[in-house]
Amino acid sequence: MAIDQRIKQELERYLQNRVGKGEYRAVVMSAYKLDADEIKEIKSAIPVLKTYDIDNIVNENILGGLIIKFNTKIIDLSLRGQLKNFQKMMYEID
Amino acid sequence: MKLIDQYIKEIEKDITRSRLKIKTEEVGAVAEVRDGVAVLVGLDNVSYGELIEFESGVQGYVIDMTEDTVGVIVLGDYLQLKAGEQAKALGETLSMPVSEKILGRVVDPLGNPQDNAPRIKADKHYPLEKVAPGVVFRRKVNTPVQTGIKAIDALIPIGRGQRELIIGDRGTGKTTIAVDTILNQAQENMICIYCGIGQKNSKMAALIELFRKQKTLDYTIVVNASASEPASLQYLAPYAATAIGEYFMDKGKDVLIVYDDLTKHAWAYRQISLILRRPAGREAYPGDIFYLHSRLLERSCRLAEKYGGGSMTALPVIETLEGDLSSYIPTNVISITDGQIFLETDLFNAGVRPAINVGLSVSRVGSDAQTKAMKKVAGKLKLDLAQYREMAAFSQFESELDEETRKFLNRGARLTQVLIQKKNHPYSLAYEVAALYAATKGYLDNIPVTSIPEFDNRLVAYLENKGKNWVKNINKNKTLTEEDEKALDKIIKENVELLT
Repeated sequence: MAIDQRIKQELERYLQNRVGKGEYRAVVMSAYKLDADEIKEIKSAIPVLKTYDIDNIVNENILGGLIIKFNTKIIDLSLRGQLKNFQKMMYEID
Repeated sequence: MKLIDQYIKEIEKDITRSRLKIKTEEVGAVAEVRDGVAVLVGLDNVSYGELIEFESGVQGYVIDMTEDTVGVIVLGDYLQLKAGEQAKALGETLSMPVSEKILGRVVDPLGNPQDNAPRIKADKHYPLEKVAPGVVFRRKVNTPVQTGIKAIDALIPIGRGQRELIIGDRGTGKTTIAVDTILNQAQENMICIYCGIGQKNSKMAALIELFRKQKTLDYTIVVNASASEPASLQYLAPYAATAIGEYFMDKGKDVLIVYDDLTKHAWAYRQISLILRRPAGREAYPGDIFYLHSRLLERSCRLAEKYGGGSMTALPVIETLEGDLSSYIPTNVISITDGQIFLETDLFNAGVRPAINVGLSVSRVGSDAQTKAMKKVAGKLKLDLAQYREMAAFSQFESELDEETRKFLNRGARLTQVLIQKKNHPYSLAYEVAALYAATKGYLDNIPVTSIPEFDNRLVAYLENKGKNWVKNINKNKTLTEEDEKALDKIIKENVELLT
């Protein structure tokens, strides 16, 4: 019997967390697919990620830049995030 | 055009200031949305009391941390939240933006203006939750707060730095006492803060209109979390008001803060605790309902000279049901405060307004906080009233009593009448001393009780016109010298003659 793809992913994630490997996975979201060199640059720029396995997910909604997620932390360097901050700043000034 | 240019320049300045930093933020996702409370998963490294921002822009305040989840009270409209929505931790505790410009403003517990005027530019951010000043930082309370209400200033005097509870049933005049005190602080160099918790919007509007008309807003701040605001804002309102008070206290100023009322504050906290599934105790209140009020009221104190010498006087208000002083919340707050002003429905209905039960009301600071002038007249007043209360039961047998008893009853009735005063009409120190002097020295014993309000009006009018010097003298020196007494004797005799 074939297992649903989503259940497989959840199971994988759960098992990796139990094994302890879940601690060392990071997700890098970008607006286009990143190649190996770019991922190496990211790893060197952010020292925390040195020992982490990086999954690269493409999400055009972020418009540009990167969003890096690991554990429960997030580093928002996306264009969408900056625009949101800009909008907030504009409303605060009067 | 100029305004737009200015606006764009401000934006430019702010953008160039904030560079893109590699900042790590904690995130979580909304797992459950309950009434005013959101339960989030994730947010592993968040601390208690930290601010959270949801994707939709609404803010939250961390109030519950369990092994896997974080409970957050939503500081705004919780109906916008969706399950799975991302939330970011802002890394700072909830603080109130304060500056001198906050005087005269109406704000909500988050610092947002509610009076259609521009935002308050913050000079400092004062945290809502703070540990009260320790023993070493405090000084004895010995300067008075002139409430302008004869009964309180004479018999239950309040000092700067004291906490005095105003307690009574609904409709007995609790808010009126607090408001009259605020109205009387115009010349007293005192900053007033009125914190409305769960009050009707109409009542708050009427109050703000009264303050505006009497020019009270020049030295008053109103913190408003009305009944239509979410329970989270009602819970935070008194702490927000205290944070503003601490800003001024740290600058060496004297602050008067009114919490109206703490009963509704306890209800809001009970609502939040029950939604968070915390164990319910007596009357369904959570176990830390005492700590809720004690940590609030302990922050009102008088600081030592070394730390600025400022003070914060608290007038919390509690509503009782059927005059039951021994119910849960009233007994809690009575044990925290330095005294209470007890208002009774029976007295109110009998025409004694302010309906203060002088026998049950107490001020644990007492005469240390009275001016010398007031101390002279108040001592005798207290004694006479106590004797009157003892014999009040015999007043029905008037014809069969002896001369002494009849004299006491006579005097007591007149003293009670003198202590009655109109709503929103606080008296300055000089007028209070004059009226009480007349009553305690027996000048009023021969005029009918019903003419006493007229005597009061005449005395005030006389002092306003021909007795200006006497008034200025008393208000400045705050003592009653031999000459002052003689002058007052003459004034009173004149006015009494007009009535006999």
